[in-house]
Amino acid sequence: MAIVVTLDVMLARRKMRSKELAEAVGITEANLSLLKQGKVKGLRFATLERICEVLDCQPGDLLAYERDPTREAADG
Amino acid sequence: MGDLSSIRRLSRVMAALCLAAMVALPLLLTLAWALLPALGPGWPPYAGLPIPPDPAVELMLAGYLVLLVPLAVLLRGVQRLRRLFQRYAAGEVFSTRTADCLAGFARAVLLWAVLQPVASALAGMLLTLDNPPGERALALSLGTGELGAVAIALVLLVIARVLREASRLAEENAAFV
Repeated sequence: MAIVVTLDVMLARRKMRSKELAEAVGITEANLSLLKQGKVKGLRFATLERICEVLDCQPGDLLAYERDPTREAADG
Repeated sequence: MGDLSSIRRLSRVMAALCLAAMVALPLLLTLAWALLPALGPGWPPYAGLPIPPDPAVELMLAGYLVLLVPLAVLLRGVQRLRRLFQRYAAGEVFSTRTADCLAGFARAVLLWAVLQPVASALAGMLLTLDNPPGERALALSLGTGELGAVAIALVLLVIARVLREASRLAEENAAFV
């Protein structure tokens, strides 16, 4: 996917473990793991808000957009 | 989650009722058929038919076997309904499997509503087959029960499609964190 989740970078910067974040945000570790791997279809604003609050960061610190070369080739 | 727990509780009861129906329906048919000679022409499905007081055993058996066909279809439907309630009881509410169970039940009821009058007419004909010519009867009757079953089955078929769509949305929603 062209949207890359950079949550692990932010976690490393804040020296926080996934388990702690999951507990603070109120989601399961399994779901947080899926989010970190970008294997979710979407992220609720409520979850994003809680993550930003706990990690004291902006949504842009957690997500990045990367152009997908295969998609561009397909689009011509 | 309060609603889900009541759905689960009610579904357990419904699944048990389905099982009871699956046991009772064949027993009732067998009992009614065994008592038919005693009930004679007064038996509701064949009221007015010139049924002899003691029909031949082979014809009785043939009539019974004919009536088993729609019953088997209905039982298959009740089995699907039981599976649906078992899944609800297990907390599986929105899934394509539960939608399929409901559709399976609806299709079985629809087929039963078509087969039952035909089988009933055939069984009636078999019972009067030993009568002298002129007293054999073939009576096809379509009751409000069958028509009601068709209407309910059609409604359930549409609802099953809606549920399939709902389960697709639920699966998508579950993929959101």
